[in-house]
Amino acid sequence: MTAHTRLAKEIKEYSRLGAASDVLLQVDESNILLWRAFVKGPADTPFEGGTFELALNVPEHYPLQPPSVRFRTKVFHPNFHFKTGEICLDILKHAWSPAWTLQAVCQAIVTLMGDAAPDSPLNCDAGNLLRANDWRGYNSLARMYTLELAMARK
Amino acid sequence: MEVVLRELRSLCHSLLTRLSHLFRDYPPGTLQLTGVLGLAAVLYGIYAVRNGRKPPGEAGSEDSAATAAADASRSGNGAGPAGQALAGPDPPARSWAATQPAQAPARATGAATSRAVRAALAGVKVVTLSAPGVLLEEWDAAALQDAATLRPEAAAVAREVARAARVYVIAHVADDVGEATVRGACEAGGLVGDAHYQVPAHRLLFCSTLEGKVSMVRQLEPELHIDGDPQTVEDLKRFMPQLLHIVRPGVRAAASRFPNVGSAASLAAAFGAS
Amino acid sequence: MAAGSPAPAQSSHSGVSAQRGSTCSAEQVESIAANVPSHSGSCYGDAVVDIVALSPAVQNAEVSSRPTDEEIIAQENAIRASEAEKLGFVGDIEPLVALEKEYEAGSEVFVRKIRSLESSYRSMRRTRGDGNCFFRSFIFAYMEVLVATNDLAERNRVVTCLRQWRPKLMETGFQELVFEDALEVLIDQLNSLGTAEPLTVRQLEDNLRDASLSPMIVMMLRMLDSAEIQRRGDFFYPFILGMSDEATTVEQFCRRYVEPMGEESDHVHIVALTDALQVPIRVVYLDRTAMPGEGGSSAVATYDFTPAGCAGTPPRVHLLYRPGHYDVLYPALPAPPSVPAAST
Repeated sequence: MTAHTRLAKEIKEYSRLGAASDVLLQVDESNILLWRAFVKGPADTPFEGGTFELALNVPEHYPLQPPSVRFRTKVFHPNFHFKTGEICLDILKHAWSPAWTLQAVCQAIVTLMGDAAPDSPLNCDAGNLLRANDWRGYNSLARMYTLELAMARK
Repeated sequence: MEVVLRELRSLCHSLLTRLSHLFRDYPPGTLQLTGVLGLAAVLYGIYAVRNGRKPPGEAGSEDSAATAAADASRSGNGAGPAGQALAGPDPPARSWAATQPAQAPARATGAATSRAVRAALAGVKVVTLSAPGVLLEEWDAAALQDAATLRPEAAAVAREVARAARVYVIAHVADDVGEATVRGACEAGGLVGDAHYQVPAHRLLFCSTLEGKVSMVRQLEPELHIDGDPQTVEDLKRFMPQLLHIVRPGVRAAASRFPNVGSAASLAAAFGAS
Repeated sequence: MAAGSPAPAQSSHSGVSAQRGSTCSAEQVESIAANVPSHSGSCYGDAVVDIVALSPAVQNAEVSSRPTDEEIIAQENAIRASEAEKLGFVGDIEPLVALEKEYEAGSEVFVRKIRSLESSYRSMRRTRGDGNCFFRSFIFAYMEVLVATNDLAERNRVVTCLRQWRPKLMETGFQELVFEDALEVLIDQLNSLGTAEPLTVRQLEDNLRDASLSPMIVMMLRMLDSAEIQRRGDFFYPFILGMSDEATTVEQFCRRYVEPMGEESDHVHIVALTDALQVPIRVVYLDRTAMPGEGGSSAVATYDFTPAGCAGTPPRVHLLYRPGHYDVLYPALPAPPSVPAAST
């Protein structure tokens, strides 16, 4: 199955289901390998209320290889690089399996938002806040960035 | 002031003239009463303005504050031991300690403060302030459990800074009670709010550890960070373009050998706004 | 990390192994962090990051020479791709003595063991050492036997079994779209047996060597494997517990060590797959363990994986295990009887 075939199936399945409550997927009109996703910050996290944009680049050998996914909206979180949007998630690297779909990947990223792993972080300041157990500081800063960068301006 | 009073008098006169035309057809007593009431209203207005509803510009202090600030920027590099040149604007913080003796905080004055602050900022666009000791009279999280007292002159300076730059305020508190106390004081004192000269509520940040505060400042990447805690200043000295230590009485200025670190007795003193 | 899988020191595929068991290593993180400029510049003013700037070429150019996870994966893929020139996914049948030659210069224990094997096995077929070799060897060998024997009863049984797996896979949480094509291909190929155009060994070789089809089939077998383990979590959990250092659930184990391509197979993987498809197999272990009475018996250890429903059935598939790697073995045909059977 080529990437195209598989992606066509995913598109069909996604349209059939209707948008999942927290992931909105869009494929580029001229290139089936380029996708955008819009995810909602999970409830009960400082990201709640924000909408975060992701860029997904699907490789030719998908689904044998994982898509390359980055945030286009800045997020303050230990496992996301604040400036480049890089995401540190094992299923996007060595733990990738063809059982994952683009939608499932986005959902895993949303789960990660609420489930920060402070060891070996991509954002050292976020990681340090959590390692110091300073949840007040982490939540405060993450909420500020969500308001400023992930919500439509008033 | 003379000019203002003169203007007001001539305005009253013309008003009275117009009123008298209006009241031509009314009994003479009415005109007199209206006139007296009107004048009383105008005089009250002058009185109110003079006594600082909106801080008026005092002609006297205006010039000296501006000069002091200008002196501060000019003598920046000469003040301390020769350090390596830093990319960026001259660090006025360095000279703040040298040229600005600690003064009893005077009431902040409008245009003078604004000019002084802008001059002191010298183009800095992102500023972070640690609230305890700098904006608040309480110096640490423990003290903030009982009360949070906003220093009015510091708040005035902070508002001016917020006009010229993006400002984040960070308060290290012990718990939710401390957080609520600080937030309440900042809002009541007009530091935090929706107006263009206030710090927006979402930029009032809290943390529960000092290490956490350091991480937050590093994440925010300000060009200038102002803190009342010497340990924080030590922790940040290698990472900030400029640091200003507001020194608690009895405490030594931190990292004084670092060219990017300056100190002052108060925010108002640092910004030449007193 | 699964303790059962030996370090891939000897197998040909190891090359550069990706960081296992961690998300981003500390070194990688440092190298990334050190190379991103720390000045705020226009970053805060522009909340949306330009996608062009994030293209791997540009991003990797900014990062230091320490390889990122993506680079490591790319490198591994390149190594695998180059190995395709040397050895396809599945090799040709070769005599077992060829194996002997491989170890001539090395361990005597090995050579003796191989020799003792030759009484039971005549030939072998190599598969590529890419971490998928168990699955590939298994399915190739199984289908090859079906083709050679035209065993339609067994074919019918396994097709039914595969069809039953469709709802079970979905119950386990696999979306139909990720496995349905591979399942259909396998079923179609099986169903072609006994028809005018049955699957041939040659075609089977082509299919299992195909760059798209072969991984697809392996992928599906891994899902079957994972689903079987998850459905019988209580049974498999003690094995899993013994295999990994960190606390892990059955589901986590499957997601991490069963489903991803290239994850090496262990006892658990084999038990689960043979149970899932109800196919008994025999694995012949060729490793350095000196047999008791050093220099004496050089019998090779074998282990039969016999699903509960197949008790008494002889193994349908024979695999050769060398540390980190599985190949296909072909049993020697029984010698013809020395006395012709009396005719009635």
